[in-house]
Amino acid sequence: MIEEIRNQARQLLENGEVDVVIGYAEGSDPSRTTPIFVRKAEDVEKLIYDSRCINSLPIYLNKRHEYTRKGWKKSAIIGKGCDIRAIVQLIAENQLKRDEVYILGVPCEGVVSHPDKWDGSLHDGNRASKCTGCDVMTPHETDFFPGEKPEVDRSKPYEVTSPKVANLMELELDKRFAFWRTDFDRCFKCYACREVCPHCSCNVCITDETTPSWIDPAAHKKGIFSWHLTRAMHLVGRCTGCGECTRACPMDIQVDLFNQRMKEVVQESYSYKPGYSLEDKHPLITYKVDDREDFIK
Amino acid sequence: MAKIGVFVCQCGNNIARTVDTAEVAKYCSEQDGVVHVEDYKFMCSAPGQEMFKKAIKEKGLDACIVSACSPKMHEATFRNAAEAAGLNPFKVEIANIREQCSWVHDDKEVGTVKSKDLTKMMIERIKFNKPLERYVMPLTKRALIVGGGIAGIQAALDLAQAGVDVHIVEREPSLGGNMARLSETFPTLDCSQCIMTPRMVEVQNHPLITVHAYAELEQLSGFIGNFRARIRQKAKFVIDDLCTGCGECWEKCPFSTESEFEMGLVKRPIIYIPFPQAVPTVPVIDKTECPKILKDKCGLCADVCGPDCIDFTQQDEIKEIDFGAIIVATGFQLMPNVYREYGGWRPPHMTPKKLTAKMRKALPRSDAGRLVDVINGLEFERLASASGPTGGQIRRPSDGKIPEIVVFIACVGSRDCNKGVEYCSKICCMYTAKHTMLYQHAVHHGKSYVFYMDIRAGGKGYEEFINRAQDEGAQYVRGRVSRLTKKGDRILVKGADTLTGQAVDVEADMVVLATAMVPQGDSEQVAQTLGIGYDKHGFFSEQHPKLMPVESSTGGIFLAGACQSVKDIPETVSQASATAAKVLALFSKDEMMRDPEVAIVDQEKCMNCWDCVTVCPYLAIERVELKDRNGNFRKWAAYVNPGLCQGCGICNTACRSKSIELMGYTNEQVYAQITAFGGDII
Repeated sequence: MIEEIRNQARQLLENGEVDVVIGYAEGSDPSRTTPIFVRKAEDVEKLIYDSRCINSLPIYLNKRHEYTRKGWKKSAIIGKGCDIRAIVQLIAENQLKRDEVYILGVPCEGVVSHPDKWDGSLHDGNRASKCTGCDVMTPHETDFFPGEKPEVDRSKPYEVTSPKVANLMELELDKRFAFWRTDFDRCFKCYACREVCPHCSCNVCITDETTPSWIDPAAHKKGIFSWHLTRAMHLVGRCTGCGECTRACPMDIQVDLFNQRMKEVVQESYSYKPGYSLEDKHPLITYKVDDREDFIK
Repeated sequence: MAKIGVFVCQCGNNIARTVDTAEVAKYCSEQDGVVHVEDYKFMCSAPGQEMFKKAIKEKGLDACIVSACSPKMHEATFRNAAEAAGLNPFKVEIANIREQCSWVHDDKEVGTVKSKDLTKMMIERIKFNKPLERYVMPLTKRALIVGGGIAGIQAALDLAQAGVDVHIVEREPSLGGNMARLSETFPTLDCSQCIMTPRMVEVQNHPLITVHAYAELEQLSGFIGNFRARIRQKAKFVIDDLCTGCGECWEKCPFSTESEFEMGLVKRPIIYIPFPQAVPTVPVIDKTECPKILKDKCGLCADVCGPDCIDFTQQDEIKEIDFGAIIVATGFQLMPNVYREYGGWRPPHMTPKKLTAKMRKALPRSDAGRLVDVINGLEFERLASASGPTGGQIRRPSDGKIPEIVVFIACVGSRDCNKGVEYCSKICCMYTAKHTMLYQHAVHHGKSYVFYMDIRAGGKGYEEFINRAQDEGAQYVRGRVSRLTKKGDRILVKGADTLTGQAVDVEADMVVLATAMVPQGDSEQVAQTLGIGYDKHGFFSEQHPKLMPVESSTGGIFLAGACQSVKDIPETVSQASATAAKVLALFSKDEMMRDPEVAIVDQEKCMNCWDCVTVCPYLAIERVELKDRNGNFRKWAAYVNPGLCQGCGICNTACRSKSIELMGYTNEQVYAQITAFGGDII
């Protein structure tokens, strides 16, 4: 499979169709992989793909990271289904043009939840929770796909309820709040969750605003809660669930539990799944006559 | 340091009952930046406003808070007063301590504390208020009237007589609307056409009125004072300027179809004017029926036409015209299908949702399944009209016999929650009484019965008119009709007299239904084209049911006549004149002032996700390219057109990067307001 991808990548680079191929390469130790920017055709041999490739690469397509300023007009990117959903969402939000990206889709069997859990194979013990019920293991939007692309029915609701969210939702409200109070105690506002998110695309993040400072910059409870709740609200209907925020968190705070819960609410309320359509606008900014109104009392 | 004045109003006892206003004033005087406080019985009264102005001048106040009623009530009052005293009006804010405080609390202690908080929040907020200047917008002094019935005609004449350029768009080939169909009008029994046609001619001859007959409003963009309408002039296949209205063509046309104007009672030629007094007297060719247009056969009209004005190649024409104000006068129709849908007629409230085969069999059939001698009010008007298909003799549609017994049924479809509309159609009692009179006058030996629920005759001379109808022979039976069946060549009306408690059966030669008035079938589409509100029936919504009854929900668009609610002619005409007065008030200035409380975009911060463009209900946000000093493309950004922006703030909430500020409600103001309230969240 990877040979076909490499060949295609080589051709694209040789023909000058793309300026860079963004993919994965072997990392610093056998359990890890690292993102790689391949700009010369001879380097395509470095490209790999397997279940260790957890990084979400579309972050490099986000305008905020200014890779476009390097003069790269068109990038090819190796995408597993969930990453391609992020790319599609970027296009739908006008942060990327479809013709600025060449998507090399890969068939995916799921990825490990964390490199530390890698023991040479992927099994139920170390599979990332987002891979359960995934309907884009065969990616939906690709320019190149190794081999035949089977038809997949993606009309069904996307599975979002992870056991962790379910457990949390079962708790009483004050217990749930207590959980976050303890968990957020560790947060020191490094904003890794923001930096790694493919959908955070503002030039000036609301947390960096000073007139006024909507979000208190200090890492006390008020500052931490207002940051995480705002982050969750800003991603409602847009988060494609890559889980990078939790993975990037140096303090192991499960910040994506908010996003997962929000995804669930959006799906239940508006039957909307982000990252499947290049045109659809997310439900918080659109109105349909059959939208639920039972929350208006 | 700010110099803020706080004016606490007692509103008589409205506020003072549950708020200790003196205490609030004292508390405010202790706040930073407050240099002047007042506690007064009626701030909105003339002495109150004088006090307000005097304080601004004498103390040199640079911002004022009025703690009083809702800003909806008196914000404008105090902003104007401040302007008169030389203070920027947008440096005045209202703290609502009446609707949001005194009226909703019983406990004076609670009310006082809350009033202090509300006022303190405004004090902190107003420190960030910037003086704003109103936008000056151009104004196009031309009015568009949609609909050329009596409402449209009246409004057009009133406006034109005041010197305003008026355009009327009428979708039928002639002006006139429903009123042109009426034979005589209640309560004076004067001939409708006689009072209407002079008005129509006046409209046509007035140099300031342009009539777009056989045209439709396709699109409306822009905003109050600056609308742009796209009008589709449907192809008439007749050249307006050449046609003399001689009538050769429509007399010679060998084909015919049902006449819409005559309610389908007779046929009309394919090239036609709807009625003899039509204005303009230019015929149109019905392109859905004309064999020349459909299959290139015939063309007789072109052969007989003297001035050679028939052009079969004519296409629809699009005209784009700018307007400053719009009057909507699209009128009404009678509730369609009250009898046509079912076999024999049963009143809607008696009709089961689905007819079983057995029931269908039991219902008598004639003329494609309906009793042709059951007609609605407008059909009766045509029968009674001197210019109608029978020349004013009342003859029933089936065999042309003069009916000896006529039954009139009131409230057909109206006041009927189940099958019809809930509202009272208001004019039916009166027009039914008129119909009985017209009938009695035409057929002296005839007998007329009216089945009614209640008589509603509120209006000048209306009750007298009903009495006169009864004196002249109409027999009023209080009760409803359960069903109509065919009996020989007559119709058996099975009804009840609820005053005597007896069943009443009448064998009638003809039955006339007082069918409910409903809005035009496409009124919802029209409302969407115009961007105005409408209710569940399709009537257009007024801004305020009592105090703004002719304004629509959109600025610069006014409502006249039966498109807004059921109305008779006098009411329609008064409302039409009222809209004309509103338009004249709007056009009385050369430029329009727009509130500066609109959204503006920080274009450098804008990350062009276009969420604001998606959410804006007024289409006020555009995508613009930003260029560098050499004219090279730099980035995309949103731009809010201040003329279109209504200051609703939806874009402001949708913007994740907080690149949009709503002037007068900036982030800093709102933040200051919230933090002044304090309260630790965690």
